[in-house]
Amino acid sequence: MESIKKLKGDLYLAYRALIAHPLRRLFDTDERSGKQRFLDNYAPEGLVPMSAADRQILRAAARCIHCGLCDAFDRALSVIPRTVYDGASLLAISYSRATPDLPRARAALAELREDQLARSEAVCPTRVPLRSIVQYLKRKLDEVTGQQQRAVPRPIKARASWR
Amino acid sequence: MADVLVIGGGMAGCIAALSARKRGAEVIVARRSLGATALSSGAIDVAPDPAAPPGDMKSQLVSPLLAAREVARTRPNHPYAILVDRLDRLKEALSFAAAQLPEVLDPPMGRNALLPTPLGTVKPAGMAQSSQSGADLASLPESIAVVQLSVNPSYDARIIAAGLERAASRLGRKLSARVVESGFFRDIEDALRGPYELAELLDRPGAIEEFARDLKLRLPPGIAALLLPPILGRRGKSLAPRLSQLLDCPCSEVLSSAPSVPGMRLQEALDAALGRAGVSILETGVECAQPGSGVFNLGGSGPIEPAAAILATGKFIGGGILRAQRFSEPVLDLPLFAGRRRAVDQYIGDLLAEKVEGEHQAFRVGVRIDADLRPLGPQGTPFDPRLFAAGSVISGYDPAADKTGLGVAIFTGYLAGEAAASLVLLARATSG
Repeated sequence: MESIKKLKGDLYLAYRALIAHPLRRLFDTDERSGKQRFLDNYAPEGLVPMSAADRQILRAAARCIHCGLCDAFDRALSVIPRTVYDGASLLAISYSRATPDLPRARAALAELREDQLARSEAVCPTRVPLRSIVQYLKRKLDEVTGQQQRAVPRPIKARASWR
Repeated sequence: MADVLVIGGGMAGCIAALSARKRGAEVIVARRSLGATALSSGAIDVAPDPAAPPGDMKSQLVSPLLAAREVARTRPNHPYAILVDRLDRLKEALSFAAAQLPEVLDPPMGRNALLPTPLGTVKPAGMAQSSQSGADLASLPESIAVVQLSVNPSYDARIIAAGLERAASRLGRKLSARVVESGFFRDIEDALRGPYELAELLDRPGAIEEFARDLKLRLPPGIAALLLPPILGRRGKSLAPRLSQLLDCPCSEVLSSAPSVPGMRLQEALDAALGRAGVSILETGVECAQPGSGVFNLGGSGPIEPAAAILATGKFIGGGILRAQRFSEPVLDLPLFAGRRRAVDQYIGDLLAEKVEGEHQAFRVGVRIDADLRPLGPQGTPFDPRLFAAGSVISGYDPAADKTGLGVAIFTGYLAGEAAASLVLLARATSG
């Protein structure tokens, strides 16, 4: 019984790989590459591509040891309401973690100025580049916003990859 | 022109600079940023009794100087063991530190104080800040209150009160610790503030008086001492004496975990002491122009060739030891040791104990020194006769877990500053 199930499974996979997929490629009118389709599907959700420079920034953010020293010298904390912005340490340990969540930090990033973080960056024991992280976050937020504005709603069936 | 360059500005670097300055040397402290001292509990852990069974409070009530000798006897790689011939000067070093920081530190105690931590444990400390030493478990009165704020989720007075009662019973004494809730911080945004900001709020004119009025209304009768969260003032001296005066009841701060207001207070007191002594602080990274040349590049200030240099860059937090693919010392590329073995590119798992509370060699990695505090080079001989090391960049101890962290920093800093100043005086005498 088990071997028949396995045989059926293998045959189905062979059909998909050798017949269905090549035929779909042959008659598919969509000119986009696989990577482009991937981006078109996920960018509206906020998953935007990362460049090598972006990855460097994220690696630097990962050096944060959550000591909180930057918060003690964060000039922005006395300027921006706490319900909007909760301290420089969050730039490294929270805001930079996932681009889909960046729109939630829009109000904080709009009010945050890099010069307010100069002292916070100087006292960081592990040299997390807070000002560069702010630049990165603002840039990524613009990208995410742009992608979301460009996105044209498509029926679910049209987006499904198994059509 | 500086006679002595101190690289690193935490406890070890500052005490080394002050020690060298006291002996007449011109000193520059170059530091990149704040380090582990600003994150410390604020108390000075000198040495616990290494033979005391876990949880045995009575054994910890020993002289920290005797305990340091015991550490030196039982742990041959510990800095106290390498400097054992000069261990009788430990008290002199601690007294020097207390004299340099009169606004925050009490003089060294005859025995270890048992100070409460936010985790509900007690920690033996040979010296403490004036606002902390009153919380010593062995000298607390029988009936105390621990203040709970309605904000500050990292501090739970119930855990501290229960931990103190448990520790007191192990010490064979009675202690009743009650929890008093304070409603002083009422603003909706206060719940989001960290300890530094809460401390700054208490620094505002009239705030401590209002805090005292709030507490007075809530204190049950018969309370003979009050323990508070470590947020009693961000700037300069702690507000604990003022609060004691207002409440007519001794008030002390519990030790802090990071982020630490008392740790920052300690660092700022060190910076102020450097300023009073005429030591320049440069906030810059330091590079060695060529290993062994004695020439250092200080950021944009150009190269200098001091008569002596002191490496007090700390361990992993301070950036004195790096570990990416391998362990390295970034300023002079000095060889590093884990115990007696060279730490080069070992798998880090081999240097960690199986249990969290075990002895992790990885956290003890550092430069090896001789009995004159000179770091050893690859041949096992001093790397440079004009170079000294102090604090947690030295191998053989784990500053976070050994409970000898700031004690070693003060002792090695004091001796390194003295040794560097001797070289300067010798050079002056030769050239003069």
